[in-house]
Amino acid sequence: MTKLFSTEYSATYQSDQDRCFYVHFQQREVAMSVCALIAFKKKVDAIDLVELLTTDDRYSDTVVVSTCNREALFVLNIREIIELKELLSGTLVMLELNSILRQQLNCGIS
Amino acid sequence: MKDLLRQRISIKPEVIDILNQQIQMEATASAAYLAMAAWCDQHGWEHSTEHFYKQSDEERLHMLKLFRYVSDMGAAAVSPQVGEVQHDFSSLREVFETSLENEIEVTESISRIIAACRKANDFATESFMQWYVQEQVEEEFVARRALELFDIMGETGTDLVLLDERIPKITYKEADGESEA
Repeated sequence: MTKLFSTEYSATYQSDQDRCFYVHFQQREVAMSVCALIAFKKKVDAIDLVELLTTDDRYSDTVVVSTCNREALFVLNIREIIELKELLSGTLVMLELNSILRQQLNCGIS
Repeated sequence: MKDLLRQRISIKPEVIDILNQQIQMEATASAAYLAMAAWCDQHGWEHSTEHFYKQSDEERLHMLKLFRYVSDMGAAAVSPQVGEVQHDFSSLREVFETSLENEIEVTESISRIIAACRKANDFATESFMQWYVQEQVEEEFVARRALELFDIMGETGTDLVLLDERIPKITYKEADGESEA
């Protein structure tokens, strides 16, 4: 497996053999396809941190997010939301960088 | 390391996001036209009612075409949540004015998508979106021409009856650049 991106308490890996990604978060490992990873990122990106921080509700600092196939459920506090946003953004950037590099290498070869 | 992202999805994540936003916009436009049809029906504008029902169907087809494209490209198309749309209007003219404003918003949104496709070197999606560019030329033309009828024909009781009858006759003929109203 190839490490794609990591933060202090989390990391993402790509398995060429399984043709999927592994998200290590909250001491769990969750396998995700490309589509599931992008859909999960979309959900996490949609969490409004400012709203969470400014609402007086008792449980306003907690959010529940599921993966798109509902295989995993994460209960996140503010710090974890920030970390997950960073992890998924970093992962997507690395995947796009890999695409660009492969494209450039292919251009160089042909 | 394999390029799983490219193997699975033909379009870039940032383009997927704006296409999903457009899906929502088309769905909202469809719902807005339905509300306009209901208002026209309540006020007895029979031909305008049919016009807006037809527009609503067209917007839904626009949405489905985009939805299928996103899905066909391997990405997750998001079935849109449609928010509140305007149901109350003060006059038939206001209905058509709102219709034109909505069409202009859609046109501008499509232009932004094409600009984003060019920035991302996504020529397939740009080519796909060209159909929408042509479609919006027609949509804006019809909405604008309908609104012009209010200036030409007036807004008293009988004028509006005649105007309502002219609405279905508005067509855009791309080939020879002529229009009927």
